[in-house]
Amino acid sequence: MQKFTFSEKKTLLIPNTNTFRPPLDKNGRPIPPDDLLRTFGKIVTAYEKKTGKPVPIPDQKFVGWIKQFCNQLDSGKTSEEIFKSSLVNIL
Amino acid sequence: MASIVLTPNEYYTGLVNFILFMRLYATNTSNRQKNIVDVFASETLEFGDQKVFPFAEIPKVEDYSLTSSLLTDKPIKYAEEFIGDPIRKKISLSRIEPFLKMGMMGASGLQTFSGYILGLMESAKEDYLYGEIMSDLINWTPAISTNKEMAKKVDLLPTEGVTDAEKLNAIELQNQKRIEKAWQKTFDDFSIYSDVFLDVDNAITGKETNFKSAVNLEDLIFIGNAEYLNDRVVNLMATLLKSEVIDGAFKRPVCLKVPQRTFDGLNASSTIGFVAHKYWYQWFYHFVFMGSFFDIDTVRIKNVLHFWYSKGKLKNLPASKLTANYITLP
Repeated sequence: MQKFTFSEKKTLLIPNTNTFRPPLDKNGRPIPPDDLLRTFGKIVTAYEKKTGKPVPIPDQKFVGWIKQFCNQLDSGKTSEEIFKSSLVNIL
Repeated sequence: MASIVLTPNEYYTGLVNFILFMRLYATNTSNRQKNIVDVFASETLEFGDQKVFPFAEIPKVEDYSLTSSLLTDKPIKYAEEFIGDPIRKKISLSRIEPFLKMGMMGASGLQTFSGYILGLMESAKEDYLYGEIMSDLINWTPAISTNKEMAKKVDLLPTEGVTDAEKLNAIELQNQKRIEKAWQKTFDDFSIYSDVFLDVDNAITGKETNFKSAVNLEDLIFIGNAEYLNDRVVNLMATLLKSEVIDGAFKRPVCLKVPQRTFDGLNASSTIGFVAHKYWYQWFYHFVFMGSFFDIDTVRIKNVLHFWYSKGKLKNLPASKLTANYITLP
């Protein structure tokens, strides 16, 4: 079960059902959150290396952000810190 | 190098598009268990608007004769079946604030957000397709009935009104044996050349044909109503799959247990199940397209999933439906 807290007043709990499908690894297991972002990074690197082309989505700034995210995770920052410092949060 | 900072618009659209890219190129090789809808799926149509399935009759075996000639023209009769005409469907969904908040919180929020993107719309699609597929299968009635065995009845003893536990057990055991025997006979019969399981008429006067089919075990699918998939039938399947002639390289038949509720919901509670060629009933995508944009005015992500597909049964592939027929006790 996934647990999220938006504030001290409200906690959102999401049970695992068919309507919640976390991205899976090649063995069919859900990828843990931090690993998911690392997987994003690996996919970008592998795709660019294999094809010599950028990932075929229009949002290249997002692709750069993923790479930056992985580097910052490797340098010891937590994902929450990276989110706070690299997203303009309007919510 | 300056740090990259994303606006919500860049973040959400980038994330959704990246997940879709990843789904297409990276994670669709995952070994997750196939669901019932996947079992009936065949390859996505690469181009064109329909699939063509040709089939030909079996040539006759003749006696040797000195007067016969190679020059005598003996054309093989040939026919084609088509599955096409796309059924065009779409699902639209606006993602609301709690989901967006979730996606902004951190890596775990992003993972959940991704899970929902993959999950909600696909679930709606799967739910819809399951209903369509089951309705097609369960309501199937062969077009030809003369000299055919596509609709078979299995005589069962009724348990209604029987309260004595011993008698009840005896009746249920007898019924299990009858169902098991009917399954066994049906898939045994599939292995020899015959037209009794084909919905093709070979006896049209003046247009006689010799369309026949035999199917190996590995090409079969067993679709069973859970209500009638008793221990004996399950054991039969297990024996079948553990046979010594079957090694690791053997492609096993597909054994599918469909919840009883599905049959009850379609007023087909007495249907025991089907034995068929695994491609007898199939559906396939023409294409699947999912797009999204982040509407900053309403703070919503608007997603649309288009799925165009075709479905159909092939008359030249064998199929048989088993139905329970409760007889009156003497």
